[in-house]
Formats: sequence, structure tokens, C-alpha cells
Amino acid sequence: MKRKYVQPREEYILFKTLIASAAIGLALIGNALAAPPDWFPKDSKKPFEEIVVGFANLGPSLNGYAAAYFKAFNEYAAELGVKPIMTDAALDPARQADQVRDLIAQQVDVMIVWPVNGKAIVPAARQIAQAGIPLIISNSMIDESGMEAMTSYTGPDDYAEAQEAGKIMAAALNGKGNIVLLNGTPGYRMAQLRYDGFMEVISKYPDIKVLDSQPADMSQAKGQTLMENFITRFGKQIDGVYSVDSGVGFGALTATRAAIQEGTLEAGKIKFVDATMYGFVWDLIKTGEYYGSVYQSPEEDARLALRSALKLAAGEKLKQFEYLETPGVTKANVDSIARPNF
Amino acid sequence: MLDRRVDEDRSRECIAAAAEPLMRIRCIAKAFPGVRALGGVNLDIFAGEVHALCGENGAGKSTLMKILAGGIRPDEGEILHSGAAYEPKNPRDARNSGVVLIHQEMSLAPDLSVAENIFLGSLPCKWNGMIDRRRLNDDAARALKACGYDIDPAARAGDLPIARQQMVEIARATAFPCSVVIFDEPTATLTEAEAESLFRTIERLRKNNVAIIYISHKMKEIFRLSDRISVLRDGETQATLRTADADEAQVMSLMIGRTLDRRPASQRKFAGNQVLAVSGLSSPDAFEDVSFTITEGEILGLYGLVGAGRSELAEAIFGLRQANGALLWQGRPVTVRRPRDAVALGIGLVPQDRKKQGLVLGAGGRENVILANLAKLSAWGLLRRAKAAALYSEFAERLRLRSASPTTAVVTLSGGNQQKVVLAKWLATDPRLLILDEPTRGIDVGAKDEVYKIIRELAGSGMAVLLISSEMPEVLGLSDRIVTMHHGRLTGEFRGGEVGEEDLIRAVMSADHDRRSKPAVAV
Amino acid sequence: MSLATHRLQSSATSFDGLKTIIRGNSVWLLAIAFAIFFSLQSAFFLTPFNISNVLTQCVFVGLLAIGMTPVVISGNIDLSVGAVVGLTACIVVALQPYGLGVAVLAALAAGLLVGLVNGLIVEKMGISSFIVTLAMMSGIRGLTFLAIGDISLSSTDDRLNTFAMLAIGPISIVVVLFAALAAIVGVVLRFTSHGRNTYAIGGNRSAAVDAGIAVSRHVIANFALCGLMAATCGIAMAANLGAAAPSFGRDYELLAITAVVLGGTRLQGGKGGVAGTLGAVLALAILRNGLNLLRVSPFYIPVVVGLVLIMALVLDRRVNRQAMRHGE
Repeated sequence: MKRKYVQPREEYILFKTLIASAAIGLALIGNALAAPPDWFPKDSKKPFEEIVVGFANLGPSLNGYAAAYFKAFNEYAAELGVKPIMTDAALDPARQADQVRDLIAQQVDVMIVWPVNGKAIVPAARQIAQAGIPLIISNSMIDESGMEAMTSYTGPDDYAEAQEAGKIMAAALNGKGNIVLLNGTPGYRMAQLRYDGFMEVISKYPDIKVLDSQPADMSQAKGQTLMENFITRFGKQIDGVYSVDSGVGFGALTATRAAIQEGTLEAGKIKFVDATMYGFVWDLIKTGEYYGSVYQSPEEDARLALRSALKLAAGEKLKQFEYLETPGVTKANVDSIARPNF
Repeated sequence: MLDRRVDEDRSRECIAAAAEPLMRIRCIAKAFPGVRALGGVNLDIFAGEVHALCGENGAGKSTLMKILAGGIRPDEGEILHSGAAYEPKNPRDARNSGVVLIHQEMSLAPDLSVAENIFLGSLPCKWNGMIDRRRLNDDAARALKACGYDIDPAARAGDLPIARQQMVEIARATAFPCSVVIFDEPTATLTEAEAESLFRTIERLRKNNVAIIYISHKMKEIFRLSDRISVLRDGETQATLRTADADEAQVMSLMIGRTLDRRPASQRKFAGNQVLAVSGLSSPDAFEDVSFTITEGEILGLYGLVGAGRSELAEAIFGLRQANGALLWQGRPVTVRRPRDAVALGIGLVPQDRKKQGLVLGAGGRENVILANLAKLSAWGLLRRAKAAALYSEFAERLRLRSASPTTAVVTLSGGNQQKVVLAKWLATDPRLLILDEPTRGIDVGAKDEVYKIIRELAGSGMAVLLISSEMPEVLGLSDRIVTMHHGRLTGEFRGGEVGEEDLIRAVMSADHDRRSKPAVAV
Repeated sequence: MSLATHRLQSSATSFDGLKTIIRGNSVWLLAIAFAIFFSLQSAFFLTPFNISNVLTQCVFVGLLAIGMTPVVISGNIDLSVGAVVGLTACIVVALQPYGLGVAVLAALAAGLLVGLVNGLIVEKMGISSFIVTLAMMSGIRGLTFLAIGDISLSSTDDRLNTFAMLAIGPISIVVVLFAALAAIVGVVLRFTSHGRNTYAIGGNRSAAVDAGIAVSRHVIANFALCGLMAATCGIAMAANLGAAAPSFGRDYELLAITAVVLGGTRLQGGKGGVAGTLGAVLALAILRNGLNLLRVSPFYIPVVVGLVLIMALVLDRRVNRQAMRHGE
């Protein structure tokens, strides 16, 4: 008896919910029909609102940078009124290859791939090329063997970042001093670029001498161990430390702090510079303990990727490398740069 | 096999005269930690006879059978089989010597076919390694037919009813040459018709000159089937009788062995308040229409054989098993759906298998006692250690618990002390009714006396005690009142002190005749 | 004898026959239901390219699940398969300079060895397979990282990737190989004495011992087979992706166990089979692919997969319990 009484009410509520969601849906479609942005080519081969972007993520769980990137990507997509098809590989290269094929099956107009593994993505990238879909590799480079399948790369320029770091180091030392280098994993393209770019600038200063250069991979612990060895070997001769990224740089700083406490080194003498700034190094630059770094914005990275993808789908030609702007950061300008949340 | 004998009756007469027994068992002894299971068993088994083995629970029958079937090794004694020393290392060895045990519980692989189960361990293969299914099924069909069973060899074993699974086991035992087949309470789960079919099989085996050892509690079956009867008590053979010369009373008195003094204390009269009244309690597959009452300070003995439904009844009262019927707790109707409800009312259960159900074996005595009393010993969700320690030492002292320390893992304690920990655990909850299911199982004689003393003290302090036991002296010695249970029904009620062992045995065994039509354990 | 027949006949009505079919193949029905649903919802689903996709997506988890099935039927579990995939993928790429044949054989041998060691420890030391293979999982993963480092290796011998990219019509060669291996394991389980003994061991170990079955040998053989299949998966993955990294196959043991359980194999052992596992692998691949095609947010896909798994298991249990009651 009671039951019968209740049921029509439930249906009524359901009905109301349906109407409400339909209204929201219409509003969203309305949004989608918004005018294309200024930078979108007028002579596009496909109307802006019909472009389907496929995005094979490696997974936002990678780190804070990736999380910020995906948040910005979604916000920018909503702002533009495009609905990209996203997949999440959860850091599994095999699954990413599967998902790329799922996106090919849906005949997307353009594909963005942030590779889990630059080498393992090569066969999938070739299949994208075979299907005639333009491909943007975002943020982390595909292996050279698969470069012919890629239409464009968007993201940071490791060489430029390292050059920027070199300029900061030269300025910090006033063109004169002894430095040590903590590099990335040998055999990686990124590690080589971050070494070459830095050295290109530094070699212009004959008074800056490189005491030693060692691979710290991308490990904070290894950075610390190597720095301890450097301190033992060179002691007070060291004027500057260049690290591949903030993680390694922080390891080196930790070793130095210990030496300062023991009295082996004096405080504030060594200048720390690295090529990619993390949040904790931003804090240290602000206090002055760390000299400088290079800023890479995940938000800009995401926007660049989506913007480039839409341009490609419209038929516009892009450069093979569409680089992100990566400004140098020192105490002088640190307040004008947002603190990285990674 | 050739049947040498012309006349079956005459052949039975001949057995005693036959020169050599097929199997000669001499002075077999076996001890488990704390218990002496067998202390000198002597038996002669002849080819072509059905040899019944009787004894109370704990008399050592199962241990003896496990030794014969290769499950365990004896400490002392020797067995000769066809004149040669017989020392099976495992069941496979025993089977190769022609000795097989038909288990009480199912021992088939449920997802395999009947045929696969029969030839498990020696499946016929073709040249390419595939199983020769045709041959397998044909062989199995032949083995089943030889036993007179009409079972599809390709059927999945797990889909068969229990009785038919047992038939598959028998077919498996007899598919290979065998000389001794042991049946361990084979009719416990069978209906009357199914049992009849089993008896025909046994008859057939006997005709084929196979020796059969038949373990049962059911006098009717024993007298119908057997040629000779051996009685075990306290791990020793009491006597071997020719069935034709024996009667039920004689076998029973051999099983019991001694007359026990009747306890005057049990003449007490109870005018106290009724604690629990059970009326018309039934649980499918376990017991039916059980009614009784128990009053403050009373020890109510519940006597019955294993499988009579006693433990299930205890579980139902304690909320561990679903049952229909009414429970009156101190005059008030109550429902007990889960153990928590029972504990809240003031019911404690010391379960039959203390290792599985009653104790956290790796934990210390104190932890175990705390377990059932967490609410009482906690404040704001945190355990108050001092209070817990005090509670433990109070009961450890009261029960004379001997443990190296409150944190000594109970697994290292003797059976008697383990049981005391379980008792302490429940006594600390301050129950009005304590159900003890086989409280002295597996503990030695000295510790038994202590447990008895504790039980009497508890009753003396006004607690109602429901004592479930298959040990007759225990029930007779402790109870103020005794109810007997058989096949899931109460079959008698006796005043303590006015009842003898024969009365109880009769109540749980001879009751067979009229109750057979409605089996307590559904198949 | 009369009582022998009436019970069996009473359960042989046509309705029960249908029920038995559903009971035995419920996961295949689920896969078909998914396929019908997604083909109605998405125009892309039934395209040859996508069908070939779905089949290819079955292979990696499928190889592991097929290898895992006999292990689970015999009452054990192998959590180390994912780590073996990482190890063997690295071996087959790293050893290419010594010749492709050597690399492939070394990878297979490594998988076999891990399986044998798993089985030996479980059987000879009596430690639960959960613990043994859990330890093996982290041990192997750790060793692989130590040996290779946190980097990836490029396959230098193109023959491996070229082979993986071969196809018969729309069906990839990898799929064909997988189907062949599944068929072999299925036949072994169903028709050989090793297979039937495996069921007996999982269903009633003491009965198997009593029957004189060399229980340890069968259990170890199943672990070895499982390791071999995991190695095959590692090689296939390295071939397909043209690269290898120590992180390959991470969490794949869970995906494989999911498929095995969804396929109706009982975790306690004794019951199940390759056909069910295969159906479950297919159903899960269709579900993931279909949800991608329907543009379901990547964050909801694991949720939906989890819900489907729970629902399928609950339903299966219901059906089976009813059937069991009927049988009694």
C-alpha cells in the first residue's frame, strides 16, 4: 500500500532530474558552438566545432607536473568548447599502445600523445601515421627511431632550458670560478641536451672551469652522494653546482649543508643552479640559499599542446618543434613566477 | 574369485578354524601429546569375514583405522598381512597392499567425473598423452556394475548426492584388487534404502573373500552384518566375540566396562528460577522439535553420540545456526540471531573444537581472555591494561591455570590448560548460562577432574550449565538431570542419580528401531 | 538400484539443461552481451580495425591469465607473473646482440626458472604460494631495476617487431599464437592426466595424495608453465612495443587474476578452466575498448570495470548455488 504511494513521487523526481540534465546538456552544446578563437585558421579544412582531438595520456598520477598539466588541459578544452577524447594509460606502455589504437578506431582528426615510454610508443606512433592522423607528441620526446611518425613536438626545449641555466650560472659567478656538473641518465636524449646547452654557454667564459662532471641520473640520493665525493675531492674550490633538475640539485644542497655544519665549507659561497625548477627550489631561491633555476609551466605546456593539435587538424603547418617558453628564475624575478606545485 | 564354500553359514563357522588370519594385529600402541590413544590392541582379521569394531567415542577406533590405512604410524607393535610385515608409509602403500579405508567424510574431487575419481592416480592414457576416455569410462562402468551401482561414469562427482558419492568411493576401493576394506561409520549419512544397498555391497565383498572391518555405533547393523565383534575401550581390545554367540547387552557392557558410582550430590532438588526454556526448536538437517528447560544452579547433561545434533543445538542456542522455535530467557521470549545477542543475554559457549573455535592459538592467555570482554575492559575505545591484567589473574587463580606467563602463547599449553583459558574467557563475561560442548575432549585424566570440579563450583554459585558430552561417566557423574539425543531428537529424560549407563546407551542406540524412517541428517 | 536412477533423471529437464549451459559459459554470454551493447552504441565498434584491436588487447593479460589458470585450479596463486613480464621483456631486448634466438630462449628459460623456483619453494617448504610469489614479485622487479636501471631499452633487431606486426587478414600473428597456446593449455587441462590430476589436487588434496598422485610434481609443473607463459607475454610485449623497460607488466598479475576469477575458476582451486578464462579476458577487453569508444572519462573506466566484476561474481555465485541446491 505504502509502496504504491511512494512510486509516482520517485518517478516525478526522476523526471525533474532528466529535464534538468537535458538543460545542462543544451547549455554545454551551446558552449560548444561558440566562435573559434582568433588564432584558429579561417581557412580550416574542417569546422572548429567538428574537430575531434584524441589524447593518449600517460596518467595524471605520474607527478604534480602531470596533474597540473591535465587540470589545465581540461579547463582549456572547456574554455574553447572542444571535447577531446582522453585515455589514461596509468603508466603502462602496453596499455597506452592499446589506447592509441582505440583512438585510431574512432577516426579522430588529430592525436596528442604524452608517451609513457618514448621507445615503446614508436610502433603505435607509426600506426597513427599509417592511419593518416597528424600526431603531436607532448612534453616528453618520442625516441628518434619514431620521429618520422610525429608531426610536431610541443613542450619544453631541454637545450634552451640548459642554455638559460648556463647564463644564470655565468652571471652568478661573474664569469669566473670552478663548477661541478650533476647530469642526467647517460644515453637519454634529454640528458645530453641539458648538458650540451649548458656547456655551449659556459664554454664562452674561459675563466669558468669545470672541475668534474658525473651522471646523477634523475635521483636526489645519487645527487647527494656525488656531491659528498666532490666536496671531499675539491673542498673549498667549488664555486658552483649545475644539476640536471631540482631533485638532483636538492640532493647536492643537502650534502653541502652537512659540510657547512661540519665547517668544511663556508655558508653561502656555492651557487646552485639547475635546469628545471620544482616547488621546493622556488622556496629556496626566495630565501637565497639556492641561486637560480629555469621555469617550465605545466599550464602553458597543456595549452600549447591543445592549441597546436587544433591548428594541425585545421590543416595549418606547424614547426617540427613547438617549444614552450622557459624563463630563468633567480631571486630577482622569483616573485613574478607562480610557485610550481610539483 | 572362486567361492570355495558351499554353504555360507557353514563358512562362518569355519573362520575360527581357518589356519592363518589374513591380518594379525599385535600390541599396537599410539600416543598423541597428552593422550594415549591406543595402548595394546590385538586383533585377528580373517578373509571373508565382516569384523565389527565397537567402542565408545575416544576408545581408539579411528586411530586404529588410520594406522591400518597408512594415515599414521604406530609407536609400538606389529601388523602382519598375509604373513608379511605390514608397515604402510602412506595411504598409497596401504592401497597397494590391498587395504582401503572408506572415509566417513567425502574424499572425492568434486569437479572430476565419477570415472576420473575411481581411477584417480592411475588414469589410462593413449599414445599421445591424452586420457583414454572411452577406456576410462568403460573400466569405471565395469567397476560400478561389479558393485551393482547404476551411476553414470561421466557424471560430475560433486553433483551426486552423498550416498552416491559413497558408492563411488566403494567402487574406487574395489576397482583394484583388495583384501581388507574398512568402513568407518558408513551409514551415518545414509537413508534406510541407501543403507540397504550398502549392505548388499558388503555382502558381495564378503563372498569375494574380502575381509571387512566395519565400525559402527548401530547395534542393529552390527548384529545383522558381522561375523565377529571386537570391542575397544580406552585404547585396548576388551574382547572378540562371535556374533552368533553375543547379544547387545553383552557388547554394551564391554564398551562401558566398569560400573560407576552414582553421585549423591545430584539428588539436589531445584526450586530456582528457570534460566532458559527451549520449545519446539528445529534446524533443518540437524535437529527437530527439541524442548527442554534449565534452571539456576542446575547441570543439565545432554548425552548423545557424535552426529546426533548436540553441537548443532548448542550452536542454535548461541546464535551460530539458524533455527525455528521459541526461546524463553528468564521467562521472557527472546530471539538470538548472532552470538553477540547470546552474549548480551548472558550465554557463554565453550565450543567443542577449542583450537578452531575457542582460542587464538598464537596469542597469550591474557589476550584470549580479554577477547570476549573488550567492552567491559575498555574506556573510550581504548583497552585498560591494568583492568585486563587484574581480570586475567583473577580467573587464572580461580581456575588454577598453569601458564608460564599471561603472554605465553596458548598453543604451547596442555589441553587442560587451554580449556581453562576458554573457560576463563567465558566466565569473565559473567554468564547466567554456560554451554559446555565436550569440555574434556583431548585432555588428560588429572585435568579432567579439575574441569569437573570447576563445573560443580560454577553450578554451586548459581550458574546454569548445559553439559554436552559423549563420555558417559562424565555425564552421569556431573549432571543433575540428563536428556538424551539421537538423530536430532530428544529421546529421553532422566534424573541424575536414578539412571545407569545401560539406560543412556539404550536411549541413544536402540531408539534406532522406531526412528529410522525419519533420518535426522538429510542427504 | 531404483534409488540410483530417480535423482539423476529428476534433474535432467530441459530447463535445467539450459541452466547448465548458462552456468558453464556465463562469462561468454557476458562478452556477447557487451559486444551487442557496444555495437549498438558505437559505429566504430564493429569495424575490422577495432575488432583486430580488441583481439590484440586480449593477448598480454590473456597469456598471463591462461598460464595462471592451472595454478589456481591446483589451489595456488602466482603473483610474480607481472614481474616476470618485466624481466623477460628486458632479457629478450638486452640479449639481442647475441642473436635473436639466444635472446628468446634465454627469456623463456628465465620465466621457466622463476616458475620452477616458485613451485619448489611452495611444495618442498610448504609455504603458502601467496607469500612465496609475492616475495618473488618484488625480488624479480627489484633485480630487474638493479640490472637495467630505470631506463628503457630499444629493440635493435627489427625482426622481432616486424614479426609482431604481421597479420593474417585483420588478425595479428600475436593473436593467432595466443589462441594456439590457449588451446594447448586447455587441452592439457581437459584431456591429459596431468590436467585431471590438477583438478583433483585443487578439489581435494588429501584425496589426491591418498590416490598416490605425485601432487608436488603436478603443482610445480603448473608453476613452471605459468612462468613460461609469463615469459611469452614479456617477449610478445617487447616485440609489440619494440622496446623494453623493467617497469613492463606492472600490476598485470592483478589483471590476470581478475580474468581468471571472472572466468569462473575458483580461487580455492578444483574448479574452472581455460574456456572461462578466455571468455573473461575477451569480456574485459571488450568492456575497456567499448568504454573508450563511448568516450567515458578515463577515471570512470576502472570504476565500471570493478562494478561489472563484482556483479558478475555475485550473479555467478547465485546461479551456482541454485544449481547446487538442485543437485542435492
